[in-house]
Amino acid sequence: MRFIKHALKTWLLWELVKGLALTMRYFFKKSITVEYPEERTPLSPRFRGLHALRRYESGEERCIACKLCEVICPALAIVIESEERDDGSRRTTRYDIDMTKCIYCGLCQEACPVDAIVETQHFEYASETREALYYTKDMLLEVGEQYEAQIAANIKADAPYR
Amino acid sequence: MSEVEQVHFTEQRLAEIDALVKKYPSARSALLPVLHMAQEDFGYLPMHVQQLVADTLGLRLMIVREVVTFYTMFREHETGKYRLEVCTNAGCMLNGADELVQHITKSLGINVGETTSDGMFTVTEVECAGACAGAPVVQINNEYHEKVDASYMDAFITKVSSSEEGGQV
Amino acid sequence: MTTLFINDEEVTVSAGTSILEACREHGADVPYFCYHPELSVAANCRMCLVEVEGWNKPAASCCTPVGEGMKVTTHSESLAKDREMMMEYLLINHPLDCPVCDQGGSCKLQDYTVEHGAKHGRYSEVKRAVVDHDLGPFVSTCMTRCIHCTRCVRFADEVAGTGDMGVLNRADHMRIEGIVEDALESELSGNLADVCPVGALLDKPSHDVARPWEMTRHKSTCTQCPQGCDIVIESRGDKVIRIKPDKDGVEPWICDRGRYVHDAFRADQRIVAPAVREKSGLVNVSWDEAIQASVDVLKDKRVGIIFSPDWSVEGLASIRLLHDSVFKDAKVAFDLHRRDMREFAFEEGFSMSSAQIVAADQVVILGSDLRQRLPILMQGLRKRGNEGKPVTRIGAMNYRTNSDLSADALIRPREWVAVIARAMQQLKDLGKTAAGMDAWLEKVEERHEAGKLLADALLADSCALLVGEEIRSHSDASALIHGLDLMMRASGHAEAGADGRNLIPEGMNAQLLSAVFGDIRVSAGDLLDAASDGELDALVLIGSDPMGDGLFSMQAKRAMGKVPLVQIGAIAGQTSEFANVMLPAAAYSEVEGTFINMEGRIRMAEHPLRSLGEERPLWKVMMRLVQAFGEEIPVVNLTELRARIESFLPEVSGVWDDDVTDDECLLVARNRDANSMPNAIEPAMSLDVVSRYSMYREGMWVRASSYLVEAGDIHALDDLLVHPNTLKDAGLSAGECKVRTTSGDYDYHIGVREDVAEGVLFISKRGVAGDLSCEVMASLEGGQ
Repeated sequence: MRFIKHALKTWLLWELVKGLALTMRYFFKKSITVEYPEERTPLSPRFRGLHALRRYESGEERCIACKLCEVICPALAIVIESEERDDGSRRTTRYDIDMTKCIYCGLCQEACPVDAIVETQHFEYASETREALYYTKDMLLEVGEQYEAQIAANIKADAPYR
Repeated sequence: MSEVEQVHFTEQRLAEIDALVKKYPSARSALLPVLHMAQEDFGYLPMHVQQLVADTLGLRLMIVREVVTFYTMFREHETGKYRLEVCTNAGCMLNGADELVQHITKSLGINVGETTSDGMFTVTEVECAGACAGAPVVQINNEYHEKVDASYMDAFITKVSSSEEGGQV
Repeated sequence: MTTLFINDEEVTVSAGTSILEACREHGADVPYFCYHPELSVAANCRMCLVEVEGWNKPAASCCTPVGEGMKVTTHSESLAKDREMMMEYLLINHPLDCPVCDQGGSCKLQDYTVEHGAKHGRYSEVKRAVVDHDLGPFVSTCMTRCIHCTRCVRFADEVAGTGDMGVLNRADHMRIEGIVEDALESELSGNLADVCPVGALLDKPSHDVARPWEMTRHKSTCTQCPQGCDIVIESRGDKVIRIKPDKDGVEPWICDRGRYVHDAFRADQRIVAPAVREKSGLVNVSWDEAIQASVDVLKDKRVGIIFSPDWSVEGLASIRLLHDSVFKDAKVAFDLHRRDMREFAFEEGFSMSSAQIVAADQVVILGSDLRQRLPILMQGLRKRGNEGKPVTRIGAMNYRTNSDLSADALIRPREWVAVIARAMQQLKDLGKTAAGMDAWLEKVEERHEAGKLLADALLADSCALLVGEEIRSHSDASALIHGLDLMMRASGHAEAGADGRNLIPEGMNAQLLSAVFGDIRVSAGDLLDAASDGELDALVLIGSDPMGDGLFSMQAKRAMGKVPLVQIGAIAGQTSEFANVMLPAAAYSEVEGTFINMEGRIRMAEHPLRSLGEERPLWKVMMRLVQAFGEEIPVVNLTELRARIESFLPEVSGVWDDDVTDDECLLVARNRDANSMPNAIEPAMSLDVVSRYSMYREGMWVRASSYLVEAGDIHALDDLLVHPNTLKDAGLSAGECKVRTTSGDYDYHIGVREDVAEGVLFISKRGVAGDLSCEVMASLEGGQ
């Protein structure tokens, strides 16, 4: 009996039919992949992409050089130097993130007491050189300016869960 | 220090201070009474008077400053002829000290801590005068006036003002 | 001794100890803010509460002495609640600005809040804010953070002696204030930042620059004065952020000079690469070229070497090795403050430790601005003064000490013999004599009454003489010191163990210098004169700046440029203008080396900072030179070098092997055959010249530090000072006057001060008049 069943399946190419049926089923189903870069998947407000340094609405930079992000960074990717600015406030003179070291764990934005360093949803900054991945303070502030609306919206969206 | 006016104790005062200092084991102990004397002599205790007291007793200026600023009865600035010191601690506050202060300042046209332009009255709020039974208490030039209300103060101010004016004429 | 129980553990402490100290000694953790081991007890923070069995409420352990059989509990549920409440109280007005506060990370308040504080604040009302003060170039303030522990007030009172800080007002209006608004009048002001348990008083130069956790700590020895304090250099990477006293060190404080000199470590004036002078100026070259250039300058020449005593022991010994290998006939000098090169009866250095001096029955300061010269020792004497123990001073100026002196006499330098003679006479009359005393006494006719103070002090059971720069740089110093030696012997203060003869040296390593260079040293002034007179062909300066430091700046300025100069050192300074070759040698913070302080205490720096540029330890530079001259290199590594040092000074042997540097001290050398007799000084001119040692001016390192230069401007006196009577006697008034000296006439502005002895022309060494320091006498005439 078992022998007959096996012979039939072999001669009738049953496995092939089964496979083709699956193919055809998916062929007519709605596709779940997206056509990146023309199409994009939605990102969580907690997405951890490229870093940004933010400013207050007045234009004053938020970072107060407390160096908590520097000390908590497990990859030692952040380097900060600071000084007392002429108006007496504590500010950074240097804020570098080495994106080749960064592991995008998000601990820096967790540690920041003034929401100055944040990770944006921007992740398409691949480059052909390593140098382009050494982000300086000016570059990070520029990222912040560019994505401020998005950052603010994300922080707001995530606020109830903090 | 050379810029401010030079002040001196009188010979008689110095003798008094000497006698006082001898009573205590150290000159520092005589600081409080000597400050009272200085305040009596000079009216109030600006820096140069504090310096004089420090020099007289051989103390550091900072020690004198500490004591002067600690006690509200020592005054570092010139005050009016009548100092209206209203107690605003719990007992007096419950019996309307705050309203009293408001009334006085309004009727004199000054804020707390200020002196009227004619140099007659200074209003200050002080901590507990220790006479809660007679709350609210107003201490006027070292004299207690108990269970004071707005009309009492008005009467006092009018009386004083008129008698002073009369005296001047 | 008292036996008590701390957390059920039986401990024994000396009677009168406070419970807190007993707990600290025995490792029981009790939190505190206002207590400080070096300051008096204030007991106002109430954080150190502990429970004592049988007492119905907790006791403040810092002010409660231990009792026999006391049962102390340091941790319990109710104590935790008490501490939580205290923390809540302290935090009411404390701002929540830890991220921008420099103290964050090393803050007691922060630590205790985590450890003992409540989880949430309940205070939602308005916090108070307090106005900040400008407390000078070294202390930055943020008084809103103050928790009123009054440590700073007690520091200013008891340690700095200025008493210029205090607590004003009370309750919610209470605030700490400095009475001097522009600057704290203290040479110890940098310690305030260390004393403050919170972030109210902070270190200004390093403000907002670094976090405590970023710092690497390098134990080292300060070489800015002969005290040689134990320091910890805190660096972030290679950059020195601040210098602090070493907590395990001998002294709990360091002075501003030693603390803020670190600015010079990175100053533009550092020599970081070898350089050779060409037509266009100094040009950086390779080591090989620079060494070759030095050989070209020095080969077969008559050479004069002036070096600084502040190099490490290894560096100094290598200078001697260079001398022996290559420059056997060279003149060598290192002391820029000594005119009289005859042997001193007791050599430079202390025969007592600082602690012994502070504890002695009598202390006599002879001609020294001790507060500027040895601020830390002066601090000890101040502590002594607070306890009512006597300190006597004899000298040419009422130098400010910020402390009570029991006796103070103003004399002019030419009167020193008479002072010593008067004291000697008194000892002799009391039957206390020593061999040679009569001969000394016979040479002097005059007697000066200030000698009574000296003799009275000498009659005490233990007496410490602190012989300062006015005697050491006296033209008849050897005779004066011989006189003092005779008196110390006569009064029984010269035996081992009770030796009170302390001659304040020029710099570090005095004991080594007298052992290694005792036989070849000459006067720096003579050496420089020889250079300008053509008796020398070349000069080598090793870390020394005779143009800026010491008494012989005028001679140095004359000599510079006359002969080729090879400069070896860490700081370029003003002599670099004349240098033909510059060789960089590593700074004291950058070498693995040994240092000996004035007490003879030996310290080793084992974890130096990295060099800034191409500089090498001095001993390597010296050996490289020996090699370039074609001689055999005497030593090739530190071990061999140290073996050679042991042959000069056997007492140091063992220091390097044992790896232990305990508090054993080297003894000061004695010269029993030194018996200089006083010469009758020809009073050729009416005034004696005394030049001041200023802690903010003296030393190449100090002049390269912008912080200290700034501080020096705040504390500056007029350039030349005389007593008003001196001017009156000369019929002059303050202002422009002509100063007549043996080397010529100069026009200077003369200031007046009653602190100066009559008949003394006092040079505060601020500006150009510093050059007059080389003169012994002068006279004044009216200006044009």
